[in-house]
Amino acid sequence: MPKGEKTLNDFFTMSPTQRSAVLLKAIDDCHAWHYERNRAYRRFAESRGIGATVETGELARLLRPTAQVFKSYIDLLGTPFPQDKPRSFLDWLASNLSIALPRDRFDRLRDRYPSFEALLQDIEAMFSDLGLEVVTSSGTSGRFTVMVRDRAAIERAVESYTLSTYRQWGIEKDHRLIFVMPRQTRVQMARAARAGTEQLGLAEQSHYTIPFDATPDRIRIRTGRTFRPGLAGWIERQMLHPVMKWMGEHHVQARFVTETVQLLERAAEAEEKILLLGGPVQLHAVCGGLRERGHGDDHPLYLAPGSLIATGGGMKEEYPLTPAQIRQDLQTTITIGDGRSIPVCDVYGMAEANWAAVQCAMENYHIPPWVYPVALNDDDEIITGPDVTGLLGFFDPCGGGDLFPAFFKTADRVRLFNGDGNDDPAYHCPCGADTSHLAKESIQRVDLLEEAGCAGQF
Amino acid sequence: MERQVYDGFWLPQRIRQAILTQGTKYEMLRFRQGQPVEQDEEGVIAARWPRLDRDQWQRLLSKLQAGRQRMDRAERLSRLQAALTAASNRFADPNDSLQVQTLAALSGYTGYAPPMIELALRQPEPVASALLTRVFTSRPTDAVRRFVPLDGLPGGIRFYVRSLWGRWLGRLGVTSRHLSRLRAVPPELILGYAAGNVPGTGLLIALLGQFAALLAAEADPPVTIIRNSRREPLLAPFFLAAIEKADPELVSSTAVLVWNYDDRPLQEYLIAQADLVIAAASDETIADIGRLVAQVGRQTRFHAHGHKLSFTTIGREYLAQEVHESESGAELIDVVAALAALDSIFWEQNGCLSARIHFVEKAKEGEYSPTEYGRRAVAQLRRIERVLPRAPFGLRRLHSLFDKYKLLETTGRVQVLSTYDDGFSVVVDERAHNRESFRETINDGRERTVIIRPVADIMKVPRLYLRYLEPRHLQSMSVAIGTQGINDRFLTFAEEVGMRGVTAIRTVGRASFPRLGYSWDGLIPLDLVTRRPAGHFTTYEFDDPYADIVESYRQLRRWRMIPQPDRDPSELRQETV
Repeated sequence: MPKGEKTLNDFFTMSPTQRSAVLLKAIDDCHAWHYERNRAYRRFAESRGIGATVETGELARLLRPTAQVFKSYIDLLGTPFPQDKPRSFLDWLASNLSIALPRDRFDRLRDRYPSFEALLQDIEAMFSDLGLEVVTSSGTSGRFTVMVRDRAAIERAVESYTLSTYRQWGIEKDHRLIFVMPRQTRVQMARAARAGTEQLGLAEQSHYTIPFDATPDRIRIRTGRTFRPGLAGWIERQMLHPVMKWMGEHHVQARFVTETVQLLERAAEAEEKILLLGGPVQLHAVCGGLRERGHGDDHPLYLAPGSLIATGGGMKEEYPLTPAQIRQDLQTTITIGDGRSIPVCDVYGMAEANWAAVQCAMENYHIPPWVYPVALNDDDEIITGPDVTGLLGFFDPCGGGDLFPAFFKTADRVRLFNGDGNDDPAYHCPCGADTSHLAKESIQRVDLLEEAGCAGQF
Repeated sequence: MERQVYDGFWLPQRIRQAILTQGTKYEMLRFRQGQPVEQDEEGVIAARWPRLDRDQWQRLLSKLQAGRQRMDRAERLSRLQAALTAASNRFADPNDSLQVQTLAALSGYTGYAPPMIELALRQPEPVASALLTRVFTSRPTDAVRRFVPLDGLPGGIRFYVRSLWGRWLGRLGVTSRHLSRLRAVPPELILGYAAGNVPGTGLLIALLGQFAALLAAEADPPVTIIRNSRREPLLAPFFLAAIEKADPELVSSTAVLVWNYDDRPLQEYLIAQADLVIAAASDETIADIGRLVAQVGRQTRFHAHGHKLSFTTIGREYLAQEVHESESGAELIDVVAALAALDSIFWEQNGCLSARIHFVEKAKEGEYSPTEYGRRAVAQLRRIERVLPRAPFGLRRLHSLFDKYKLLETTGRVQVLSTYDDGFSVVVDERAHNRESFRETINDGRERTVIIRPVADIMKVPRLYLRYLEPRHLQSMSVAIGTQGINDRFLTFAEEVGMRGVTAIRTVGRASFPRLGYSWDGLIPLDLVTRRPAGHFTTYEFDDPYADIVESYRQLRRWRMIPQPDRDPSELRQETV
């Protein structure tokens, strides 16, 4: 999208038809701009027979799979541990960006780094004049999607996050924000939440209740699915992982539950509006803490009207309760002063998306109006129509800034209403918004490699 | 709405009438182009099977026992051969309603293209196997030391003792007793489990039941009960019905049904009565069945066929330039590329027999390179695709693999030779591999993806790559090695891949068509009726690989599975046949 032409906020005032036209033009422009400058993207487009201009019917071919693009360093380096091959990792990173990183600085990298976090910090320091920041996926597999943002992209990300979440939720200056997450993390969603909070001037009234930093290395070892090779891996597997798991279950959880419960009780007493945001499993632990303090069906914790609970990140591990059951539990332990149930809404997003889709009162997920969503069939073609079910793809022409085109195919199967430029009033969300939205409870992670026959798989 | 309902089970006609009543409840599944559907719609194929209660099961077993028809081996062989020939002829005849019905039902239910199913049905097996009684009666005692000829079949057989002690004795040459003192244990009841959507697994087990009957000539034939796959329940009933029509006594003690693995009382009831359990299923299911066999079986033998991996090895002698197959005029490299590609794509690479990686020997002067082999494979696959179109399972996963390898091209060690719009992928992979990355590459051999791995020498296959894998994961090796009969190079290769765990060696083009007289996951028909020391049999299935390959190619051309023409024979400068 040509810079300075539109702000994200403008999209809320456009009609769906106007939005579509602006976005399709912006997608063409964005493609042409990055095609010229981004080696990895051009190679990708060329491999699918796409040139500098996109022909009608070729749109779906621009969508790169989120599961691969910013994770491809693992295959290219032959290891999920870039700290062992810093130079190759930086080369990979540079080849995926549409801006030229100053190559003369590459030699400053050390031959090896003790951790992934140390490498990322060094890269950020090396390119601090560009404002480069590295964010990651939640990395529950131990293999992280690595995304880079520069100063402009970060500003866009914060604007996008703020508009698509805080604006939707009606967060104002008098809200107290309680994040059941670590203050320091590279996980994209958590970073965006913190940055948005700071931009809105709410930093003073924000609290992060998970007491430890969540570096990629710590997340990897704690989740226990990918370990380093050799002795280091043996130590990680046999010693660090069990200790971190035990600490997580017995110490960290106790700490964040206690602190979150105290903050909630204080807010209730002071009749402050709160936003409580965290993963559903963590929030359910908080729920348990509130019950231990006597808050439950008969004596819920009363919060000031305007308070709300937001969940994000989905269910990363096996858990005996469904998200709906967790929501119900939360609403029976916490309520708002006027007797209504406290709103609990979920946020859908991913590392590659510079946006978040927030659940409305009807529990549908609204995609921000500056994003052009589509659903893809099993042959990777866009399914036409206002009510379609398929793999979610999205074009966010301003999401990658100058660094990369944010055109991605996700691994999530969804039911999408009024995507692909459709605007059928019959499929507008009953909440009143005319934006594209995902039907509640329709988001499912698709296993890309299901087994059918007797062929062995590792 | 048009919907066809087929029996996804089979019982002998006489028993069927006695067991199934009007009150019998049936379970039904509907599939359309290989995908399960809830509702009846155009093109839906439905399969049904009865849900028997305990009383019905008891009566069924008793009637199957009563149906065991003793006859001497010569008579059984002769009758079996006649019945199998009659049935096979019907499946091979496009004007026969049985072939028409089978193709339509199987294709609609599983999604595989009708010509692919037709090709599988046209294979000469199992009639050929029925001719080979000597295989069942001979004891390949010398096979513990080296490959020895198979008595009555082309090819050779080798037995690899599992125990360290046995292997050590083998080196000293005192091993012949291993296979000379086999203990006969003819089974009274064989219980089979077939899973997955690759057609024919249930039928294969049913035919093994027939061979067990042949082997147990002096005893009553076994009762054979097969738990069929819900994903492909149709072929076995069609085939058994055809045999029954020809000679009902041959299958009067066989039953094919579907029940739930988690119906523990039923599982225990059946396993407790079985002498031999044969399971072709996922590793998890096999582990579950194995536990039950250990708990409730009465010294029950358990033949497990879990998820497996197969590969292809192409020797440089098949990459010689300007060597042509005389009938078609095709260059030898094209013949081999077409057959090996077919091996990989059959059953959409869902089967354990489909080759994941083609190891291709690097070229010397006058030979084509592995990359050229890959280009030829692309050309052949484009032609084959016209005759054997992809099953409509979607292109998404293929595209994901394509994208992955296109990204890897930046390493300079990977070349993707196919395009995004091809219904397959052909990749030349020359990256350095370790155990993990090699396993990941194997996993990518799906969705009609042929990964070509250049090797300096074919012996790198057993000495480097197969060492990354556990023997229990290995199954078949398709080969194009040796142009003039069985030579030392091939025998050394066979010896070492067998030692690594490969159990079947076939020429390219025959990977997807196992023959029952040979080793299936280390077991030969003799194992149906005997106990032997732990270890595995490896067989190769030809006496002249070159003649075998040429014959396969010609046959496929005759059946129009490889579109013609290749090249005008008058243009040929040199011929080998």
